[in-house]
Amino acid sequence: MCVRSPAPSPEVTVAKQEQYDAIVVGSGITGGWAAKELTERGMRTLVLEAGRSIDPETDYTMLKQPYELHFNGRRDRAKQAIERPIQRTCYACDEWSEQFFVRDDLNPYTTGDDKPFSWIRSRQVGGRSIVWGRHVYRWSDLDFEANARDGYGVDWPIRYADLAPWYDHVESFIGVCGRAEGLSQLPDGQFLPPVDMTCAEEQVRTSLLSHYGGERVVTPGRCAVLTQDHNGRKACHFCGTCERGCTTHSYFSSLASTLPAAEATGRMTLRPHSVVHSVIYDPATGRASGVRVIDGETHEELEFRGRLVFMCASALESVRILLNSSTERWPDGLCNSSGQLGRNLMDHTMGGGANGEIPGMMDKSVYGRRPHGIYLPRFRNVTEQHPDFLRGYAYQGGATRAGWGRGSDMPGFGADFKHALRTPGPWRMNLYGFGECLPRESNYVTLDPEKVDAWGIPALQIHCEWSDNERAALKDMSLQAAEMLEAAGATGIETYVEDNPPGLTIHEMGTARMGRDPDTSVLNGWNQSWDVPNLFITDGGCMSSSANQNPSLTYMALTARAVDHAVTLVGNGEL
Amino acid sequence: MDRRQLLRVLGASATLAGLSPRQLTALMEGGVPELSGRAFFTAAQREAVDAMAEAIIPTTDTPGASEAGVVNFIEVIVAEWYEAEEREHFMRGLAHLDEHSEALTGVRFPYAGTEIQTAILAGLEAEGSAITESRSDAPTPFFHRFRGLVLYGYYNSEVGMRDELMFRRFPGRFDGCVDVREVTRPVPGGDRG
Repeated sequence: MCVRSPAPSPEVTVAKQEQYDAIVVGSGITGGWAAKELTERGMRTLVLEAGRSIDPETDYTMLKQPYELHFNGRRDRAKQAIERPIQRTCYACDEWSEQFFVRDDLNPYTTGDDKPFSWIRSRQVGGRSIVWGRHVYRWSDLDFEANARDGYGVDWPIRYADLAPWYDHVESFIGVCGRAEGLSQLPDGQFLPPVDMTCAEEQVRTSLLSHYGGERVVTPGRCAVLTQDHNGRKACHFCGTCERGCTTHSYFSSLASTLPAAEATGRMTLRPHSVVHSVIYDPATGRASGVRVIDGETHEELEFRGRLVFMCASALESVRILLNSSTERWPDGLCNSSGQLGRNLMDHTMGGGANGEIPGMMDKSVYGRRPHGIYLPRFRNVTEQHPDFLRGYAYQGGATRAGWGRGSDMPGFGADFKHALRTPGPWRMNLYGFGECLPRESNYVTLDPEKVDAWGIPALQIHCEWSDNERAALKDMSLQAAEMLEAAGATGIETYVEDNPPGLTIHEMGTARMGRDPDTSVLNGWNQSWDVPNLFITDGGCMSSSANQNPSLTYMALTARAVDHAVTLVGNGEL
Repeated sequence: MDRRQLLRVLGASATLAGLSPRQLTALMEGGVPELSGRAFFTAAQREAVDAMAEAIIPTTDTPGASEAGVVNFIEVIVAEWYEAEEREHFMRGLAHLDEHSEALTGVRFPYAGTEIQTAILAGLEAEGSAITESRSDAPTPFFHRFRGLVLYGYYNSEVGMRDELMFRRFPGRFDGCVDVREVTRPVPGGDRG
């Protein structure tokens, strides 16, 4: 199934004194957490990042106004068509922020026939945490028990109670704003004060609470954005364009938060431009002995040794490295006795929804530009089973009044036209759904037999498509959004069902799943490889199911929990 | 494409004799012109773009498109961002604007006076809307395309953001329900309750 890449040339540099307690591959959301937790527990840790260093003062474009950019903020279409034809499909890859996304021409991958997949990637210190969506939601036992309930995938080896203290731990450190709602399917957390909802959103909330007897709740988005100063970082100033980078570090990124904490211990070595080629396995000990790296700039081959190896490079990148680390014992990829490595790829569906005008409140508007809108948690398949689909979905969205942008749809020109645009348009509420994806072995990745990236590492071949279950839920999202808007008194309701390829929601996960049985899963309940006990995978790869919540908070909590376990094993002499 | 073909495509008007060398290169090669310090529009075209932009977003109690420098934005978009077909379509529309004005008044659009300018643009808008309504696959008409550029250029300009939108770079807080008068500029002579 996979092709072994050529062994590195014999003149590999085995760096002197490069023996670490732990090696972390990746410096994004989970790599930063692994680095912080490992170093704070006394481990000398090497963090390897494929991309460059980022200096917020010079690399962030928060302060740049549109008129200071060549195309006033319009993307350079011709350039992006060559350099970032895939990355540009992400909303954040624009004239301000495209440098935070990889160049597709240097980082190729292939897909199955008629099975498009959008792999949106960052390579830089901080990874995608610099441009992420910042929504963070806890999972509940509705999610951890889902596979066991309907038989898709394998049962999660953990339950909410196992992760709850780690959710607390992560939320307290990163800072999460939100409103406690007491919902069983979306547990409350350690919240900073929520960001305001708009008057129209509050009105819709009230209408829906009454119409659905408390079952459908419009709540302020729970986001890793500071509504007050927190852990040395400043409160949000509400400039509204987080993806350009935040020089006051008001949203969580590893660069602003966990990596500085790791640095402060004096035990972290962070090496940018370190493209990890493979994990080195020592058959004598049955352990991973370190990693093989290609220097991103010089293309020099290097090796680093570590007692623990944490894979935190993202679900697809970590698995690509492991598929490229086959051994005699595991010809189809390191730690792949189960045959599940690279399988069960999931992403969330997105884009079933509706919008409509909320009449009234014409004397009101909003002040400031918030970093997110509302959240409407899952209500499907919580207490009753829907006949058409398993699992659930939730919405993000919000109600705002349109500004000058609506001018393109208005007739006229001249002074009256200009002045008419001063009065904002009516309140319009949008509900945009995100749905759960079933784990299925038929969604899988392998190494491409021919294509390699700019560093000679085999490219990934991705085979992934939505099933009827995802499509049925997407359709229901649209119908229910319209029904709720109608119940809230909206007029001019427009429904939509977008046809987005998997990957574009950028919640790819599941390729090295956790489980209870080494025959059917890659990792045990501690994110630890069944086959190679000092190898941990704590990015999205470990997920046994996808739920419908944005997953980063769960990745972070699992990472912190896995480190705690690994360090305990080291302390016991077991590792 | 040679120059003769090019002129046929563009409608071979007298105005086109004023094409700049950079435009000719861009149009004939059909690609994106090299970045250079030189202007893309001729002086006359620049005047026309500026005048039409100002007619769409005029100076009132705040500066209009002209003071906001919208013509510079439009020039960059037409020269470097547009694909060849869009560029040709734009340049043809621009040429037609002056021709139309000259046929009516004997002078080019920038010198036709506010009343005539308004009449010409109203005619262009109606014509464009009619085409869009009759043919769903028709390209965005020149007037609508131009107005879209003016809106984007003006409201993303320093002047437009500061004076018209009262844009605050760092609002410092988010309030989801304020009096609309706190965040919008009043309309001159309008009833603000």
